[in-house]
Amino acid sequence: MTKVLNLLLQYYREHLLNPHLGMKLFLLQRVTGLGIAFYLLMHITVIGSVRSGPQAFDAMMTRVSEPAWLFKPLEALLMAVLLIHGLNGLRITILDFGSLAKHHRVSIAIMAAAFVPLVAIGGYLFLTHIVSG
Amino acid sequence: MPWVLQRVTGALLAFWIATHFIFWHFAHSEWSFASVAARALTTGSSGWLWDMMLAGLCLYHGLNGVRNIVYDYSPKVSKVAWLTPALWVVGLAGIVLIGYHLAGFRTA
Amino acid sequence: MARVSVFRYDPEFDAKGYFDDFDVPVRPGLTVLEAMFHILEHEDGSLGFRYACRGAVCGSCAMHINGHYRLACATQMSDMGDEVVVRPLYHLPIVRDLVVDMTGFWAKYERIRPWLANETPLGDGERVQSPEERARLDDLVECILCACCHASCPFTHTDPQYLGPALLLKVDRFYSDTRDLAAADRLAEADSEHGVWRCHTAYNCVEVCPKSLNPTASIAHLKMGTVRRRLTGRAKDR
Repeated sequence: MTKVLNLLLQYYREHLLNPHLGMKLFLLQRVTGLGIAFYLLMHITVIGSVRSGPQAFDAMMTRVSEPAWLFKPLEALLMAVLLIHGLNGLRITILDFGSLAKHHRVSIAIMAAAFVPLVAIGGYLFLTHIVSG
Repeated sequence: MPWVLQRVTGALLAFWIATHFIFWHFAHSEWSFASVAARALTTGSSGWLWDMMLAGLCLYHGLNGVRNIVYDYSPKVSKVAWLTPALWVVGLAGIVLIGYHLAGFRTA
Repeated sequence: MARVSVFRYDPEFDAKGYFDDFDVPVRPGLTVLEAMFHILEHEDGSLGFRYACRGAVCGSCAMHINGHYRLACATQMSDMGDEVVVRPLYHLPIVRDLVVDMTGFWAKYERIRPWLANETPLGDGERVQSPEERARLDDLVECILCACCHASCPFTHTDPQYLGPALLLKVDRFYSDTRDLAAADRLAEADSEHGVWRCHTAYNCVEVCPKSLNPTASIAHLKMGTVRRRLTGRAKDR
């Protein structure tokens, strides 16, 4: 675990020498990727509670959604992390088509333009959920 | 080859996870055994199959990502020759486990 | 007047590197390299750095200046402001101060066989190439092997044997050359353990290249080539 953190730290040190947007996005992609992988492990475990019967599953569902003021923001955070990793990943995939790799700066602008409204809409929906209880 | 598949699974996941997330967090936020089982039943056994495919894509994309990270730090790929088979084992075990969990919702 | 902080390190005497500060008078047109000369002549004659052409074509004076890898001879002191921090290239062993050991870099260069692979006899004394075919090489022949990109790429550090942006651009230079007959070998080199697959499109190389080249585009071109070769068996893209 500390080794992984050390390795990520090394990338961060590199970033300090090269504070360019592309480097930041690479770091974000790695960190969000590992974060999502970790979430996936938890998700599998939580859903797996069904093996102890329907009541156990319902109890687990309650545990991961109450109190709403804690879990709704966490869900919003998950959504943001997924959006970052997903949109950045799509951007990288498109840039990987050789001839488009020249348009690096533009691609970041386009991705940001897509990310902002999506995360805003999602965040808004989550907040209204909290408000409505 | 893995590089291509990482992007293909990534692109598929981008849309699939989006629908999965929207379905369970926005369109339908009552989480209970009944609601999950109802979906499995109404979409028939194919509902279970869709979820399994989603799980397969996630596991491939995630474990391949981990493999890439390890390769970045390995002076020689041959020194970590055990990694790829190990990740396949983890992936297949994961799919089996998820199938086992999802089968728990089949009340029929 | 500008305050120049220069990285100093002498492996014979120093346990680790440190920074020396010098005040350098700035006049219009003064480059960072000329500031280094000033320090060498008036402040500290032991400062070590490389230079040769002073005209941004030899690649010797590549260093890290104020957050960016640049050629010292092509960087204006007036653009750098009052505080200038100078460090050597990263990812290569330091010989002394700003001089790095390029041996590993040159070894990788030899590995990619950087010559035109064509043993066929010359017809009329030249290998004919159309203007369009030559135009594809325009960006690729400009590389001066200054190693700025290699220093900025985070993956040359985690995998010291990774060819890196400059050398993969060189591979692409020959791969894209219609006179070169070893396209399959070039792709094999790119497809190797320490080839294109270590690139994760951080784009630092593109940001720092003093010649405004695009190694990431070259690497993407090579990646496409390797995939095409694996799927269809065809090496050349045209």
